[in-house]
Amino acid sequence: MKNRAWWFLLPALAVMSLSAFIPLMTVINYAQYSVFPGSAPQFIGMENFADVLNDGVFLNSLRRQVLFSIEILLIEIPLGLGLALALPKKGKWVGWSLVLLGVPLLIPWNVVGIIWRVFTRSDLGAVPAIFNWIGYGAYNASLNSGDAWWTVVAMDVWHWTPLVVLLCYAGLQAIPEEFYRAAKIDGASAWSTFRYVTLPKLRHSLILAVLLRFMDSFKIYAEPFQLTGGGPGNSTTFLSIYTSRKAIGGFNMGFGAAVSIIYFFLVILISWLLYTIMMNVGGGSSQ
Amino acid sequence: MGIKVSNLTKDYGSEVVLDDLDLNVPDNSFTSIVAPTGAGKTTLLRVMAGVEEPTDGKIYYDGEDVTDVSVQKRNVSMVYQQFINYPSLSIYENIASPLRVSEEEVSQDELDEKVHEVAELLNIEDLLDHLPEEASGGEKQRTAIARALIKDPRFIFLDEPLANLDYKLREELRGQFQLIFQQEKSTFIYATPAPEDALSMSTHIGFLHEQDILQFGESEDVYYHPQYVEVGSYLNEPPMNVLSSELIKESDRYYFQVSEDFTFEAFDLDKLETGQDYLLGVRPQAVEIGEVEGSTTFRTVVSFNEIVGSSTTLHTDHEGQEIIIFVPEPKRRPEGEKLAVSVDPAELYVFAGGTGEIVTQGAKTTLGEKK
Amino acid sequence: MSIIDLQNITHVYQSGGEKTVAVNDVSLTLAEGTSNALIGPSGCGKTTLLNIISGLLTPTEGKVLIDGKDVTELPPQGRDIAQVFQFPVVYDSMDVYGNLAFPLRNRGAPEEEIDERVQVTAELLGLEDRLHVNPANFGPEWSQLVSLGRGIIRHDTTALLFDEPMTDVDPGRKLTLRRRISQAQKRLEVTSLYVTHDQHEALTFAEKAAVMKDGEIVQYGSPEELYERPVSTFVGNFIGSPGMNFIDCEFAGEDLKIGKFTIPINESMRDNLDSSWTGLELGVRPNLVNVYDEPEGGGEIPAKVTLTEHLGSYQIITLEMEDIGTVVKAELPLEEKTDVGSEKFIGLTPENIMLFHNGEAIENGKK
Repeated sequence: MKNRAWWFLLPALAVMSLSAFIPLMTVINYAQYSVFPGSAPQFIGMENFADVLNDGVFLNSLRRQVLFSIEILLIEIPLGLGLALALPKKGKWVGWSLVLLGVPLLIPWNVVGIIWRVFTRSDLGAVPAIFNWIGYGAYNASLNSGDAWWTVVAMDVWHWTPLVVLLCYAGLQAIPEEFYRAAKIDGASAWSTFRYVTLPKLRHSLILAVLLRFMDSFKIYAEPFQLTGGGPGNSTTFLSIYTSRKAIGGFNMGFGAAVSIIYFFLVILISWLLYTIMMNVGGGSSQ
Repeated sequence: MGIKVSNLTKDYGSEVVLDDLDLNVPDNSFTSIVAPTGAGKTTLLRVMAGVEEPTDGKIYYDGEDVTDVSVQKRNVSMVYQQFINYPSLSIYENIASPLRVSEEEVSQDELDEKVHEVAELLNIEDLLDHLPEEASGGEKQRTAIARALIKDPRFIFLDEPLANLDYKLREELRGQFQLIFQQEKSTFIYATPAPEDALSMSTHIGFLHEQDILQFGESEDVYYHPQYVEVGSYLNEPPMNVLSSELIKESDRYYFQVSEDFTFEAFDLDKLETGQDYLLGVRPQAVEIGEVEGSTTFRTVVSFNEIVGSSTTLHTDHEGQEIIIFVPEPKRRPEGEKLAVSVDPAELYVFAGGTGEIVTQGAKTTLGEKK
Repeated sequence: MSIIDLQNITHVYQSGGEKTVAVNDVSLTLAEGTSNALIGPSGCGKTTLLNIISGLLTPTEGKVLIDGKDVTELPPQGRDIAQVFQFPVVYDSMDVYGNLAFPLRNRGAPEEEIDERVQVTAELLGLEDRLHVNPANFGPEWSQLVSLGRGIIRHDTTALLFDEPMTDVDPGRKLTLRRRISQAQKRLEVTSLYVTHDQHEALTFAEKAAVMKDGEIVQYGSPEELYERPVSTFVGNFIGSPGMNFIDCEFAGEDLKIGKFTIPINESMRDNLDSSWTGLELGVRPNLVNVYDEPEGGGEIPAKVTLTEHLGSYQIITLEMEDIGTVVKAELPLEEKTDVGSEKFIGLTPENIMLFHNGEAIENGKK
């Protein structure tokens, strides 16, 4: 009776277990069977997992996925932070700049795909035209794997950097003015002020941004799917596209379930690693 | 019958804030709970009011067990250290709000009359049409107090309401609290770390120490008859000096020895034991600068001056023991100055060295007592 | 260790079309190596003035001179001033050592010198045991010491400014911080200015305090001067706890009249008065109000005790003089019997009173 608060959590816990726990259990169950529509499931133990880890296409998708997330983070975090620092801190322009920045976040994912598909069409898109004009040569995302890759990266950067900006901007606004005054009086240069005031105070916002962007980019599906369906070849086949192809396209549900579980643990493991590393950076001694 | 707290324990996991605490707040009293910051005063107040549940123990209001009664049904109100008001409501509506939401029907005329009555009591009638943000800190707090008073609560809990006010307002409100208390029929429970707030306003004082009430009684009684050295030393502003000493017998003479050339004639010998350690309590206002006939005179060196408006708290050092002297005028003395100061042995409180319990006190220590 | 000289400083804040004069034609000289305070109620312009000295604000008009050099247009970095803010500032990505060393490293000092200065400063402030601790979890009192340390670590600190540094500190911990700040100031003899609305803070720290009201400095003097010879009723009330009592009176050619009661005054005072004046007030400190149980035969005014307040080492009683309709507060030792409702007699003697005309003090000898 002392902790009545737990009772209030009950409905939420019930909903959570229905929406997350039960499907998860189903997937774990599936992963140990050979499941094809139309035939009775057959228990095969860990065989699905072994198959997944031996599948070259899986390993290639994973490698691609990791590379993609690293690139995304390396571009979006500094770019987002830089934009946040450049935004006005007060005045009438604050509202306008934030709304303008937020526009990509408000567009539904399938519309994003359509916009970019039109953008990059080799016959009438703006992107090929620009590339042509600067002398890059023939841009074609559906033929050239490099073009497809960088287009997906560009789509993600365009779509999600505003989120990083908003997180950093909120963090910046929360730093008391006194810190900047003190740094001025201590004779700190612009770089020292950034290094010793802004960056440490933004740490939590940045950790949040890195985690959110990592988890989301690691699960990227809509952009490559809409652009080229994972091609050309397998050049933009990321883990999520691979999984759905196997499970739904290939009707191999057991195999797909095993991929999902490995995928799931990879996201958790890498997020945890990122979090731990970032929490331990920047607090140390200075002598 | 007031509030009875019995065997109250409150912990937050491994952190025990209140441990098996008993307290009786008398009806129609102005009871102050006094303790340094972080001792658990706020927790005690919140548990008594019903904002928090005790881990163990019972709370009785007028003899009735209310431990499991929610705060909304207890007819209490609370004033906090932060000035809490509804920012979008006028001061009038802020004050009226408890009656607007109460279950009892209150007519508009009655409400109007009550709002004006409490607003007058707190000198904020001119502000009734304003929003809280247009008022000063002191006026915001007066509004919060008015809101606490308007529904004639059975008990009013005040958690350091003066802490965020500057000293001029604190002076003013201290006086006003006493007048309000005399007019209202409520019982006030007031938490404060400031001994002068407790002593100037309250009829009763409870001293909270190490998760328990160490001493409770009428304010005068607690001040003039401290049962423990912690109570005596805390409940003076500036705090009472506490000197370590030993009782020495030399031929027929018994004396407390503080240092080589600093001794007091002992009294109440039947309560004392030779060779034992005693803590001697001396109020800073009982230390006189210069030599005084019949007093013990000793030398001490000025280490720091605190000028407190109309007086000076002079910190001095006597061979490693700090001696604080109350000087009733703002007057700085050079640091390092050697002073001869005197203390009348009849001004001493004698506490046992180990337990800190009172052993005896000098004849002049109770001169100011009003009974 | 410098002379800070403010010459006719005016500062106007402009927001929209509205102008607010925060500081109005203030001139003030802080002597080399002295401790000073700027005290006044909130909104009087004291923080604005402080920021003008540190260079965080450029005044609308007037000049700031440090050792005779005009620094009005210089940024804070160019003034070598140290400031401790209301909100304790520590760099929590560095330990205490790194914090203290920060201003020196920013100026490119050699590491040996930095190390020596850090040790000396830490010792002065009692931080030596905490040098390699991260200050992120320090309470405000320790954070403020680190903040102060960064200010005084340089050899060439011209002035030390404090902006309400005790605001966040627990009441029980204020004394230690107060002592350390005062000690450091005295040891280093650095010209200092301490801004606060609390007279206890100001008068304890400062040799001389400037009382500010509505953007102007109304009096600059030692704590004793402010207490004993306030230039106006404002200062008389603001300094002292409780403040000075004021009673309306008239000058009757020879003596003062309060209603039907006569108060004798000194001859020197008499020369400065004019019987045609209105707006004359008598001021008396609560500890200088003589309170008697019986009339002494010297024109004492009867009064009734309406409130008694035990303030921990003395008592303040509020007395209502019913014949005059005025209230007076008196400070008395705790031993005095002062029950509410009891009748007392108030004695006001020439040496204990001051006179004010339209709020301005009339000094003995000059108007």
